[in-house]
Amino acid sequence: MTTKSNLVEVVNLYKTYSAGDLEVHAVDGINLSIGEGEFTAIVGPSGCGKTTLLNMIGGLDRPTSGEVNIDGTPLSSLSESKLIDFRLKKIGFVFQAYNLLPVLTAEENTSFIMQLQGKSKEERRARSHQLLKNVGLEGREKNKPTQLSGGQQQRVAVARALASRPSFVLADEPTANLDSHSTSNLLDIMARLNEEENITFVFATHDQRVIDKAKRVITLEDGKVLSDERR
Amino acid sequence: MLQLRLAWRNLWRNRRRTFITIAAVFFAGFSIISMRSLQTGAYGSMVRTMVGSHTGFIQVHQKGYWDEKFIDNSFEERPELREEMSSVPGVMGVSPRLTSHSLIAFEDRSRPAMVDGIDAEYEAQLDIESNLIAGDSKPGDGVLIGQGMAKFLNVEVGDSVVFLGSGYHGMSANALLPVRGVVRFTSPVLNDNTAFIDLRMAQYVFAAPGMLTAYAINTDPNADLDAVLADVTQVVQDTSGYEVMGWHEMMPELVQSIEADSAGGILMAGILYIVISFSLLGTFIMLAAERKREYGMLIGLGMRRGQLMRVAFIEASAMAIMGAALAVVITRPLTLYYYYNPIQFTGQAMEALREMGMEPVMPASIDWSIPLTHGSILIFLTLTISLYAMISIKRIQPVNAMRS
Repeated sequence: MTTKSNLVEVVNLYKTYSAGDLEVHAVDGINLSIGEGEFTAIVGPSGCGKTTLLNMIGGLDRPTSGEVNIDGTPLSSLSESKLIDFRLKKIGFVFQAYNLLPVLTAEENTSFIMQLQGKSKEERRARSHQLLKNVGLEGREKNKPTQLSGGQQQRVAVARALASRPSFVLADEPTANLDSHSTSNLLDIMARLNEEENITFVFATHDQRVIDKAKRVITLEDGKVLSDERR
Repeated sequence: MLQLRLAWRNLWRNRRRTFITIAAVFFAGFSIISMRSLQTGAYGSMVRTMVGSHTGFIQVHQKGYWDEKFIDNSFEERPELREEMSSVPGVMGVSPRLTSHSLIAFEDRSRPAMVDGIDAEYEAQLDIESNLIAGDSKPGDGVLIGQGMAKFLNVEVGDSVVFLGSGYHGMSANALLPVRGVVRFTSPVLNDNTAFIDLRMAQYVFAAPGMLTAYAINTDPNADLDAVLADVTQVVQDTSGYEVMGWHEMMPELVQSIEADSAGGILMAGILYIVISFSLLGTFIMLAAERKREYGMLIGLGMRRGQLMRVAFIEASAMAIMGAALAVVITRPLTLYYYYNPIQFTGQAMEALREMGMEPVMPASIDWSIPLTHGSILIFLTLTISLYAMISIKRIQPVNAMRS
């Protein structure tokens, strides 16, 4: 049963890849739930299933079996186009490689999702300015990604993820390409947003600095939950 | 708006590829439009020379005349019919003619020739005034001959030539007529083998008073010839006694030779279209491969595939339209130049064309349908090939694409 506080509920989730006769269980029967306002890190060695689990929670990938419920909605019940709309409204993504659109400015990258949602120009402008200010990029609105450092680009990606007022933000190795100063800066921003605005963050990471900041750490090994530690 | 902005900016993120694509469309368009304009212009010149300058685009005869072109297959002149046909929309002039054949001689030289009796007042085909090189532009009581025939017979204005032939119903048709003018016709047939005398004089010489062999009708070049032909046929009404023929029917060999030559041009254009298609396909394969990750990310973030496809479609359209429009704009002044200053053939090519009865020039056609048709084909082709990018978007799996 999904309660209001449980934003994400993962029930008996499996993801199996076939390579010839060989079957690889990337996610092997995971059950977990993530509540509103959590700052959770899913950790584990490379190949343990972190990204696969995150993709399935985000509706980017379909499980072999099991279910992911977001805000009470089972993702398996959604068609391809409804799932796209669902992602647009409910989930914010931050990717390892920033994945900003190189032809758009920081402000346009941030307001892009809102434009897909059909928000007015005034609302888009005001919110993107506020978000860029929140991530410390005031005055950089007109810069294109190539004019920003890696850390700054990732902060734009965080602003973009928050632009649609999602239920939660999924961040896959967000600090993997950042230096320690940028990492620290980015984590401070996300921790502040979590503290002040109760935004839920779920990270897939093996960066110790992220793990140190997390309030909950779920450790995976061979596609299974090895431990689930709340701090 | 978002899709338009994304498409426009995407165009300039890889300027070199965009310019190469636009240039490929442009060069294909430029080559095909130039080639077809020159070809069509040459056909137009051929038709003007062989049809427009003498035969007329439509003729009315006694039934059976065109198969057996004898003066016995003539019909009675009907001025009221000529008036009615002149008032048909698209008709620019109706020339009554009486044509027969005769031997023309001067001193010790002679040549078989076609003798055309023309009415200078109504003559709508022959542009004698501007091509006159000596004497008078009206035959009056004499004869007008082409420069080639004058040279062959070695006659000048004022000399008299002898006509020896047969007239209506086997009557002998002999006359001694003074040369009133020498004209330089572009058509070699007219220039070397035709003599023009006044219609009344022809009717007298050929013993066929009040008779004609044809009404030659000149039409507006912009008019729909089939529609004019239908209207003229309706005016003539009594089609049991007359035959109304368009130039396509009168000169099927000319139509066939144009069609055969045009098929070669269309084949060349087809080859160019195939070459450009592969070039464009390469562009769209590269574009789809380069952006695979980005497309995956955008679908992941919540952009619908249809929206992404529209971005790709707008990009492809912009490149196609720019290339095609550039080809149309650049070829226009060139075709206009060669329309007013046709390419002149010299030497053996000139002789060969003259022998075939054609004017040795190649003007370009300025018919807008040529650049617009080929510009549209190029745009359609580019958009069809851009389907590759759209099919790629349709098949993209966000997770796999982002891993690539």
